[in-house]
Amino acid sequence: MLKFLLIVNKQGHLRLSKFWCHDKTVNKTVLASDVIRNCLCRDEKQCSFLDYKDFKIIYRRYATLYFLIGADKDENELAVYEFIHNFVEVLNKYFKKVCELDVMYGLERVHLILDEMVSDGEAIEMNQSFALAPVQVLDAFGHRR
Amino acid sequence: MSDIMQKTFAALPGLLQQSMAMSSSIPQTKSTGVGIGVASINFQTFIQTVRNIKSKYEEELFVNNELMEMKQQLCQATILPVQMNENVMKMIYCEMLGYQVPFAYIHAVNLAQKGTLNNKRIGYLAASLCFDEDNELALLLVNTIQRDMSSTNVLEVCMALNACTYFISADLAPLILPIVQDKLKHEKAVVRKKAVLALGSFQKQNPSLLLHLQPNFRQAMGDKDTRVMEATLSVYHRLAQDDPTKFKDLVPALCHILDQVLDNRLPTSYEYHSVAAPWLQIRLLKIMAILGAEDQKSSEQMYVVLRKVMLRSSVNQSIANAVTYEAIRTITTIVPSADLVNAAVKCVGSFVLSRTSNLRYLGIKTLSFILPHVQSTCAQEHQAVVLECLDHPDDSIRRMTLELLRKMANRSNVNTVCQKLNEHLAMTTDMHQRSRLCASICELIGRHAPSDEWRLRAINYLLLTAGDAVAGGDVETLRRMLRHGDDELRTMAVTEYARLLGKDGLPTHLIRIGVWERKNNKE
Repeated sequence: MLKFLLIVNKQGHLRLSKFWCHDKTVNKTVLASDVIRNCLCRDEKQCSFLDYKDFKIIYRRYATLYFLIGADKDENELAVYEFIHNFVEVLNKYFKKVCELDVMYGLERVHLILDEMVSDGEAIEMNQSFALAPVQVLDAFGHRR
Repeated sequence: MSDIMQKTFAALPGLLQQSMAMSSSIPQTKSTGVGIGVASINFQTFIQTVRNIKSKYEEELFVNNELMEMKQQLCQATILPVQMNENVMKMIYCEMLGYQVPFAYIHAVNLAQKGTLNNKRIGYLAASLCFDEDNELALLLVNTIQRDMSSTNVLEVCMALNACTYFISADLAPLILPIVQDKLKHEKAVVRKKAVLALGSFQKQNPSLLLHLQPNFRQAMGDKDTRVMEATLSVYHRLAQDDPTKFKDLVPALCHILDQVLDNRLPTSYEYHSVAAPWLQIRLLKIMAILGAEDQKSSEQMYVVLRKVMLRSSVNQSIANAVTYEAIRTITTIVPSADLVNAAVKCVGSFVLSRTSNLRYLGIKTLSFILPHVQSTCAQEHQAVVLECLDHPDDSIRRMTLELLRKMANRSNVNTVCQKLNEHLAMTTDMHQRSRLCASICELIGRHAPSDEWRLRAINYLLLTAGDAVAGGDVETLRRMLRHGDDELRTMAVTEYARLLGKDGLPTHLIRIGVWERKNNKE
């Protein structure tokens, strides 16, 4: 099960955060900044998986953006790693070569796509056309009555 | 309008092309975002400023200013939907940066209640990011959810079903349940899929609903659309983890579905980098592992399809490796078959010897799964690589190797293993990792100690190195070990502690055990 997803730039500024764990005792901002700090200090040769408290963190870097996912300890790390790539491919299809600015200006669209692909922490919709369809329909017709 | 919506869903690509060609009402300049039209200057400035913030102080000033302006705008009687939309987006940003904006939550709820399709969706989104079912505003949303679920507009129904997973608490679920169950018969697969997920989330909060919902889940599993079946599988995955015994009859169906996926019977849109529906394969393998564990009969039903999965494995594709890894985990969790274990061993070899850090990490991990099922020759074969990984520059690989070592420990090598674990314990500063290492060492001391003398020295060494990182429970276990030891052990303990307690700077646990041991052995 996925617990959270963060998109940060290489300076560590948060551009998107989504949490699927509802533990009220956890301060999400502190957790996010701690995880970001741990990931950003790793270099390219190190592997993309690390342990953090009760979570397994899987991260992937695309140019200036880092995609970080926190998951259960027994999650298949490589599957999550590839899920990140699938998610980025979907964003690429939607934004036509996604960049940090796209994520900032189109934040709600990125959230909607993520909502379509992951439900309650489970990665549900991996088919790229089906993941994009509702957002594309919303773009075409959503602002009309 | 609702007719057009239905047709839109069915003929999406063609319609979209048409609308893109003639649209000037949806400017799609990259810098202003797609779909909500041109963002106002105000919003563009907001984003630019967020982007250029250099310090925490600057951020606080800016956000507090924005929140004041937002409060004023939202209080106005007449506010355009676009402005409301942008204010809600700003709220999402501020919440993400860590600033609570509770006064704006109600406006997100309003947007969901009264907005057009796009604004309604954003209202739901903002609400889901800012509060959950415990908040009193969730009650207001429940009415909206019920209304939207009965809409003729497919998009609205989907939004409402999505929102069910966020805002319906255990007491409210019975209210919505009949309407959601009704959606399981909807003609659109996407609605059926979301209905299954909503029911799954109700059952998660209210486990007693399982009996009531079982027939729904069984039926959805056999749905002709893969999306619905996949959603049902994710629900079954969680259910099987809670109680595998109830779902053993699913095994033949799971094997059959996996077989069909491997035979490329799914539409080509499910292929990802030339692997057929890899995440679906992984999900099936996970459920099979849960159901086959310690169950000979269920495991035997899985052997044929598992052989097929291993045959298809290839090391060149990252996602194919993910499937292979899951297959190895399944093979080693269920009651194993010799030929499957051999196939797994071959793959483990190629992972461990890989130059890529990620694959090597997985290789070490799979080596630890395989170990209980093969002779120690397997680990010995890769001994050189394993030793290299112990001192690997990558912390994650070192940790995984330590975990492997722990599983490999026996009476003859426990001294070396404990030494290595202690070395790493001395180097680590992360408290979580320290207490895990301590727990591992305690377990090894208890299980594999070759002699009492060794046990005593190992306990004292651990307490000296770890200090207070040793958990209370582990200290108790150590104390019990000493208490149940024979007279020779006791005599040794007394001498040893007499020597140690004279020194300065000892950790608390060690002092306690030392004093207790001397007190009990004064007679």
